[in-house]
Amino acid sequence: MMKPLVLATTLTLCAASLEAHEFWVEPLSYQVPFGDRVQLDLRVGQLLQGRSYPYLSHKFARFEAEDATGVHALAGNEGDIPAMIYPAVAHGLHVITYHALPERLTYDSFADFVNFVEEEGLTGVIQRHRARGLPLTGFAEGYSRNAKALVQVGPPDEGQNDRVAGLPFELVAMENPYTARDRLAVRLLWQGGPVAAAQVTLFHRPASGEVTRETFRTDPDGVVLIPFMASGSYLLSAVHMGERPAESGEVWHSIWASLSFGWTEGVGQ
Amino acid sequence: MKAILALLVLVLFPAQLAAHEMRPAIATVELRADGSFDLVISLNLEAIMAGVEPEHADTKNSPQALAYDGLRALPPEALRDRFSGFATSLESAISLMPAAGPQIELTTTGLSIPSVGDLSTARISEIVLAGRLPVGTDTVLWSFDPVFGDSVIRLRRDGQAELFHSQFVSGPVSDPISLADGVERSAASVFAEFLWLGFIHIVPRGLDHILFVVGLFLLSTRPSVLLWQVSAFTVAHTFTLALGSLDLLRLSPAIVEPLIALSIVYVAVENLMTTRLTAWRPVLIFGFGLLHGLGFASVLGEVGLATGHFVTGLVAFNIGVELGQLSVIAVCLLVVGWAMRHPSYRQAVILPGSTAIALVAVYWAMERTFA
Repeated sequence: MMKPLVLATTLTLCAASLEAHEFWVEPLSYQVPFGDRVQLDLRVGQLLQGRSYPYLSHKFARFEAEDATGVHALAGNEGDIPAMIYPAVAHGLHVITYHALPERLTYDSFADFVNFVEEEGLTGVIQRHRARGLPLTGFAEGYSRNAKALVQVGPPDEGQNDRVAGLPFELVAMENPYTARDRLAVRLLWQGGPVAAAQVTLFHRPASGEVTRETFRTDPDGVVLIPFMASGSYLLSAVHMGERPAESGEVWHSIWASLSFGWTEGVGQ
Repeated sequence: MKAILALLVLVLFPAQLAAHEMRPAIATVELRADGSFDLVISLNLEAIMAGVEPEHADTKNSPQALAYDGLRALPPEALRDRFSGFATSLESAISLMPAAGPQIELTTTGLSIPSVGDLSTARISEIVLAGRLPVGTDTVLWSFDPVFGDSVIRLRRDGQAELFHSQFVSGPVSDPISLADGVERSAASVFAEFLWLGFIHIVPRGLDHILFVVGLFLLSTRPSVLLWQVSAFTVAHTFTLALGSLDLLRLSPAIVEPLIALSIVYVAVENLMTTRLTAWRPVLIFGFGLLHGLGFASVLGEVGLATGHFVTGLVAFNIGVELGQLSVIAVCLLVVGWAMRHPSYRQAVILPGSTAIALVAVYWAMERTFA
């Protein structure tokens, strides 16, 4: 009798930081010399550690790069890993947008759901789940992912900035992270409008050392101020949870937004 | 010991490990000009071996999660050992085959399993299989058993960076994949291949043609006579082979094959009845050449002659046939050439040789007519 008990306890303890799987676009390098190649990986994982996923055209609604010359659809070969490689022939900031089509998962353990919801700071979801009289296992959650990455080609330009791509749920950098100092203001938008009091999680992977995780809450204007700690990779992630009628086949639908950028010390800053 | 330790870790921290989002197996084909190819599949080997059902978006949601985690924690050598018992069932679940034509065999030639690494992410291993598409294949189908999940099939020509086709496949068989612009063969490779095909169509596959040439050899004690006979034969079969390959002339093998056998009977019997070449012999040999050409055409029809290099393939095939015939003559010369001027050459060589050829050919004629 003892063993399963220990096992169950361990499971609960370990699960806390492991339920949510961020999705992000990760360039091989965030700062690319003009004329070189921009290489983009699609990653799913935790704490900025994730397996690279292939380019699969049936998985997304939009996959684009916007630069000074306009918006370009990113079309690749099925199964490409990295998902996209394109020549960096436009100077300045490249805003990469990936809008995934919805997927679905079924929960076999209510604890997993609770951990995920708590980790993402989604207040009130568990109460609503019980109030709606939903089952504790075997219920389905749909999920949709909206990822953006900011890639700098050549030297940064003060005038250039991130833009609102028009994703359902979107993180928008209010300054150019490649020219900003000390801290960066980022706004969270739901259907184009600012989202107040939402959790935004920041992951930072320094050039050497452990990945750190820190959470923030948006202000009434939907803005969080992110401190710049050091060079390395940054990932911002937020989750919006919406109710779904049971007849849709899922009872919840989470919508994910991510924004990634990063730099190497001494390059472009 | 490592494996036991890993399993122990697994039992203690299950939630940390068994949550790997499934992704399709990615198969990339490197196709060479001669139709041979290497097929590299990168996949989550543990998920397939554990039998994690593809409908689970995540390994954690599968009843096989524990088995999966056990395999995931194995060092490469241990997983390789387990795979050896599994390889054949994987081979039989995978195929790249001509859209019209027989199954082709795939052989596992390589397996690369990364080190255990970070257990929080899936391990992607690579399996290399080798196979060969028959000459003339212009459309292929990819199949990957859906019990192993979705797949992506990608094809490139050997030595080229760009793919000429890529397709996501959810289901047992892909959409047809055209090789029309995928297989661009050099004239040299077509020439070499059809030269070889022509040669082996005589030696060792064409015993009837061999006997026909031996029959001609037996009655031709002077090389010049033999040479123009063989040449007349070659010119004639080139002609009908071309017409047959272009579909301008088709005769059923049911008619052609017995007639070929009868032509051999004729040559052998004439060898027995006469000691001199008759005046009509060249005409007959030319006619027999036309006949044998139709026989070759049906073979080329089966093999398939690349339309882009029709003339090259045809010429090469004929040269191959000619070389095959000349090699038969060379062997005959080596065996009995020294005895040609001997007074009893006719009794000791021509008569028994021709009799044997006639008997065999009569048997073929009957077999091909009534079988």
